[in-house]
Amino acid sequence: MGVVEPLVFDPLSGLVAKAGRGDRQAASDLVKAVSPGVWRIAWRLLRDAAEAEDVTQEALIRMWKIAPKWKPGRAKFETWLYQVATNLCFDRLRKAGRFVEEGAAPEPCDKAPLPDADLAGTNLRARIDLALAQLPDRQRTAIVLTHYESLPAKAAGEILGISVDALESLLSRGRRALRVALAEEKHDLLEAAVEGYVA
Amino acid sequence: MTDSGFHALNRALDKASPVPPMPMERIQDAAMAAFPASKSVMDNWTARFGALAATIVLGFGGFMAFQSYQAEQRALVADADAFAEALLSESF
Repeated sequence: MGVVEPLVFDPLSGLVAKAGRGDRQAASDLVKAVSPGVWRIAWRLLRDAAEAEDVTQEALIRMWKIAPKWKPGRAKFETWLYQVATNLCFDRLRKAGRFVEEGAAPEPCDKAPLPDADLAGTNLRARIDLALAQLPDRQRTAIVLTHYESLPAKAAGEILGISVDALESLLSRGRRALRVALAEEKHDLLEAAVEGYVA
Repeated sequence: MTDSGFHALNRALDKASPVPPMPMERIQDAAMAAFPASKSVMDNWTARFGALAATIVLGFGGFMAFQSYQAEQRALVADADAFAEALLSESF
């Protein structure tokens, strides 16, 4: 006898079912509920507002195709949608030749101060953005999903198509790379976290 | 980096790398424009015709079953009458 997978509680399943039956109000509510998350993931992976908007729209259009066939209880709808968005982002990065594979050495951070770095917070933000941008894409995605989107490891692993152990390893490599890249900013970061002056 | 240092780094990263606001209206409009409206009309018709077909089938089936039951009852009564008549004619 096979192992029975526990049913997954999904607060969106009602809306998905109604939208799948053609209910416009439910479809509109579903877009409002899921699009901010898709937008945040797409923007953090692509770092480009126009591209993030395209990916968000494309993911939502795919959502309409799957909604009538969606079977609740097997997986969370949001997890599926984030997986679609992540794959769309990876496709775009690959097509543009911007996809950084694991093991590819990241460019060293340019430590020169930025022209508009008159505020300490702006400078620090730019350094963090640069350090994040220079991570290999799968490491950055793992950090975005678990840290920024606060998804559980299982869901983040499903989105990336890897096991929880593999995700932990990806996260650990990503955090290590960030620590190295932000070593000089460690003091500023701690201060920023304590005082909360970084906007 | 210590654990407390790492958590502090997390908090700082959160504040230091904000996502720009989403163009909600444009995204909502595009998504709703792609929402298959004709499908909903078709689904409504499918549901209505389905319900109508089910009513017709059940109604016809019920009518036939009732007719069959009545015929059976009539046959039974006729049998019983015939038996009673035969019994009476034999004994008297």
